[in-house]
Amino acid sequence: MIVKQYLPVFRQAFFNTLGVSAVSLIFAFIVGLIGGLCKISKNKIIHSIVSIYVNAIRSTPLLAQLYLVFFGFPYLGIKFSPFVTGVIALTLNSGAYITEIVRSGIEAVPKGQTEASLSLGMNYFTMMRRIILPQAFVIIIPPLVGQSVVLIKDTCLLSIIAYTELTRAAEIVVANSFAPTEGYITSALLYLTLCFVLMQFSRYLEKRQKKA
Amino acid sequence: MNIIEISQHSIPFLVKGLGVTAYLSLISGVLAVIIGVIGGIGRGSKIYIIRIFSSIYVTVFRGTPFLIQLYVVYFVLPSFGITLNVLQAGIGTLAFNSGAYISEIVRAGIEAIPKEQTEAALSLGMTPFQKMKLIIMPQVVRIIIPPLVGQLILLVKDTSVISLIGIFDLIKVGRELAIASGDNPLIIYGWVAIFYFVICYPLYVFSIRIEQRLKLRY
Amino acid sequence: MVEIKNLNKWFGKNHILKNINLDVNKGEVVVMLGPSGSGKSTLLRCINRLEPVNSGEIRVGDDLITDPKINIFEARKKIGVVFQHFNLFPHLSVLKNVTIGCTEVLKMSTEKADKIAKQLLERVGIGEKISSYPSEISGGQKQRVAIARALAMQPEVMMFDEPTSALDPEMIEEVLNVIKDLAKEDRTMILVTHEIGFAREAADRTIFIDSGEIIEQASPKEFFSNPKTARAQAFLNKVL
Repeated sequence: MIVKQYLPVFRQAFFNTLGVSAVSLIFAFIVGLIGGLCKISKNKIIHSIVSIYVNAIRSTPLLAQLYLVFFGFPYLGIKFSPFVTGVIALTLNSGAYITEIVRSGIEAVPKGQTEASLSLGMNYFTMMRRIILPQAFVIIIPPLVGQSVVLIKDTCLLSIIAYTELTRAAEIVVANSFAPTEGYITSALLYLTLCFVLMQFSRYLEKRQKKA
Repeated sequence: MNIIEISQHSIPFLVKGLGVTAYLSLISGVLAVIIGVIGGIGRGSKIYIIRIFSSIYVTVFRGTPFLIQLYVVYFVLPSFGITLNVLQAGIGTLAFNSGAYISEIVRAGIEAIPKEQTEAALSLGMTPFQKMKLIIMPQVVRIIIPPLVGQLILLVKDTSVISLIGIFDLIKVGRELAIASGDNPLIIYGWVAIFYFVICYPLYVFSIRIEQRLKLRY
Repeated sequence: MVEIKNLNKWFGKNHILKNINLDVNKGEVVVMLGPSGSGKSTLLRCINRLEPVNSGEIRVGDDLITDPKINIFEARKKIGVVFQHFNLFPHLSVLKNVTIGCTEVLKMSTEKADKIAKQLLERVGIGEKISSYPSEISGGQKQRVAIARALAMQPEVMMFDEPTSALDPEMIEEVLNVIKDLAKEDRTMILVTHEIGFAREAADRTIFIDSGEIIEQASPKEFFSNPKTARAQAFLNKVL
């Protein structure tokens, strides 16, 4: 079967997909954490800047953001590898959604927790670190896993900028062997496996949360 | 060429692309909602086959990227005798893709209605059909409007992916302009982003307003 | 100990607290009674600045709470609060709930904090539950942990905001007994409660508040047998 012949390509692409997803997720989480904390800030300037960022990302397609980064940077004289370009675009994109997830998580912690902490004399930093954020973290894990699934699927657009992830692997196979069925279906199945595992994990987490 | 000249040159073309995007969004959107409602009701069906079939549909379409689905429909289906043009493939795939997410939204909405509502309706002597029509569905519609609008915003953005199989929507026009004219791509793609923003942001604000209004009435 | 002068608070257009003047002496146990929505809880929350005030002065001990320049975090250490809905920290054990104020805010060593916490938890009658988590104990037990948590900070004033209103009837007594015990100890305490029996037994002074104003103040004996104002009489008729 043709697939066996191209197995190494798919395997490399699978790990590339995982790699760019993992790196982007880590950076996106950092961006989202900072963004979420900024969004609950009472400082109007910080709040506005983050709001503009989030609204801009959420109102435009990832493909457009990717084009902006991929074609924009060389025009300004900066050249990045496809991997780095992909990470930048995916980080900025998912970072906005994670900002909202973090913000909702913090706001979901009951107000009584804030009052009890303040009444004990805690300052803002201690209260956040020891009482609010630990509770918020538990709340945000399921939507965070959901966003990870979205990000893994978003990596398919990196095929456009010549990064050899799962979609591009399929394109290579198809171009060389003229067997679109094998190529694209294999990719689809690999994505499905990745996402399915994550989705089941998310469901398991949600059930555990409901018990607590 | 400066910003104003580049903008003046590109915007007329971009507007035509915007028209294509709007057309794709509208048709796919309407189809997606229909598919989603059927799928959502199917997910909760008591008939095993319908339930399993809907589950598989939802899992497959939510577990694979839209672009791959598009490639499969456009490049793979012909081998099985179904050949679609770019427009048909684009709209069809997008409708089924968004339809899967909308199925989940509808299903969650139905499950959110407390069992007591069904009991009360049946106690009044209503048939299951009347119960659905008069009691359950009106409440479901109220619950699902905010996430539904959210999904439709994603649908509008996903139309951009259809450009990758050749359709001349907003983003493809932008890309061709940028390549052909060699002008500052940041300005051209900037306008592309602004046009998408102009469609999506009002929808986003609309969904937040509706959510607040619906919360108050309850 | 606590001095409130000409306190006014608006929430939007609503005048919630109208020119409140109140003094609580050291070691005094004061109970605030009144219909729902009269502003009693709001007044309590102004005292440790959980709610801001629009005009007037609040002084607790040496701290002018209403002064924006004051270090409110320092001041709050001296005021212990017990909330209607307990507000225990769900991700921390019972012991940690009580020690976290000591270790994080008072900067005590863990050993010292643990010792104090264990003593207090024994005292309120839940010594055996120190390793449990809030989700595993009853409402009455939760509130007693909350009391221990507030006491661990060794506050100068203790405030209780409807401490038994969220409890099932059979658990009210165990919590009230703990509070009565504290009242005997020469502590400065301010309580908002609907428990008339408690007010009669343990309070030094009862204060009747309605629609944001202090209508009447008297010793419990006087207030319950001989209310002087019509509104107080009407309230007592409904409640007794």
